[in-house]
Amino acid sequence: MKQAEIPFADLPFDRTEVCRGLGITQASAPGQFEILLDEAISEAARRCRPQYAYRLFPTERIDPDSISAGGARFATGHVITRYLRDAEYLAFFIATAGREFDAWLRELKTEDDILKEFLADAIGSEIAEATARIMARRMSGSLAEKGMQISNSYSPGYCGWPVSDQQQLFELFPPKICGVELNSSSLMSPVKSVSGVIAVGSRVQKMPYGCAICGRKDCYKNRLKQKI
Amino acid sequence: MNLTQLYDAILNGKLEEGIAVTKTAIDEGTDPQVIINDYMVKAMEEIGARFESGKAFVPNLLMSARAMKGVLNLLKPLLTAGTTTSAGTIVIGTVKGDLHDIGKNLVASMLEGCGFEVINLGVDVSSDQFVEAVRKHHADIVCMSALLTTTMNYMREVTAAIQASDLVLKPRVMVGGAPLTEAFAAEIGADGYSSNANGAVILARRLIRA
Ligand code: B12
Repeated sequence: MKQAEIPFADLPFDRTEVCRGLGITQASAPGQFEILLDEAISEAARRCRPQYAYRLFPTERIDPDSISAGGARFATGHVITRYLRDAEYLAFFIATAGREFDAWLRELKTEDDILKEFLADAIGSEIAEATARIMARRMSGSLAEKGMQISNSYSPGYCGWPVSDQQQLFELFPPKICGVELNSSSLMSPVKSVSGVIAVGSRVQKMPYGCAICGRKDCYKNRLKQKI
Repeated sequence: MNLTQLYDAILNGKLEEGIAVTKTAIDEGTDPQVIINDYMVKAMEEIGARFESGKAFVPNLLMSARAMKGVLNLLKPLLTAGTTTSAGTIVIGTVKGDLHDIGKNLVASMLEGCGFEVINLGVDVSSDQFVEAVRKHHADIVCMSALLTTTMNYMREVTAAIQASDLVLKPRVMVGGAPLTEAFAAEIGADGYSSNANGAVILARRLIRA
């Protein structure tokens, strides 16, 4: 198992992603808002504790809509499984902005400043995602030496992979890994956390996400498609 | 006193400016009901319309709602007995098993900004807690929020518990959250669904009138 804590300054944190998360589709947001956002980002940088952990398992079996590794079978669904089929190893991961960040979010809720609360929430989402991105980059770097490539990351709760499969995923790790816990409805706490899998192998390729072939009505990416 | 300044302050989310203008208006003896209905509510309607047409964003909505709430607090004590600023009473919460609450808080804040009395029960709220809060506050509407497909199913239990309860006046039920759809809302017997905070206000107004 590989585990690491990343200082905020080393994260590939993307401010424009935060703006997207805030629902701002225009290049320039209201003036005073830009200042508030930057202030919130600097405070978030002090309050977060980005961490990740991943574990590689040899692939035991790959079916059209499931994968098996670590003694468990994951119902990844046909959309995601297509991208995992060349996997010799499967890297399961958990990445988080940290318990400390959630504590800050809770503090903000008592301050009755909904705008700041909203900014901090969107910043936290991007911190969790950026932590997963740097994990993948570093994983890719260390596996390249062994002649292996990695796929994109895929998460339970997307593209037909049930969110409840996180129960098995968490069993592959020691309890409270990186401070993250999973409740019985498969919600992670701290909330600013992500989990998933990455395919590893000499023939694995990084492919664009397969949204084009998936028509799930309950996915937000498809809802966005409908709106356009 | 030129109250279009107040309209502009609310529209642009300038709380301090809104309060200053309103204080002068009060000193000049302007009827609070006129200030609210002819300027403040109009400004909130305009920011809502701009949001719907893509000219304003959620942060703008929030800044306006914050200004509106602040100025309303100043005016409330001055209203003559019998008149009320409340557009209706709403109980809101994130359902049991779920801890995601920013979306719910945005909805609560917009509803408050638009004159509703909002009782925010927080996260991980059970059906009993929803029913008891409706009883205690005589709520007109119950709003529920969820982040995951696993937790949204609990909304079914809450709607059933409300129907099965001994509440004489059953509240209307509104639901929302990232994984929800109009179809799911209909399936569980909710009275309405909205994908965003502005839509939630429009829906709440409609349900209260109906
Ligand atoms: C940002 C985000 C994240 C962030 C932050 C999550 C958080 N809880 O803070 C991160 C990156 C950490 C994340 C992680 C995960 N996520 Co996520 N995430 C999103 C995303 C892109 C936006 C959610 C958000 O915060 N929006 C901003 C807030 C303000 O909006 P909101 O909460 O939806 O509220 C608005 C409306 O819904 C509505 N509303 C809300 N409540 C109510 C109530 C009423 C009454 C009304 C009328 C309206 C209403 O008005 C609000 C304001 O406009 C959504 C997809 C999407 N675009 O919606 C997926 C989504 C919510 N995530 C999803 C999933 C699966 C996950 C993970 C399980 C993935 C994983 N395995 O790691 C984890 C779970 C995290 C956890 N704690 O357990 C799924 C959930 C569906 C499902 N399958 O269960 C979604 C829907 C994506 C999808 N697949 O379609 N996620």
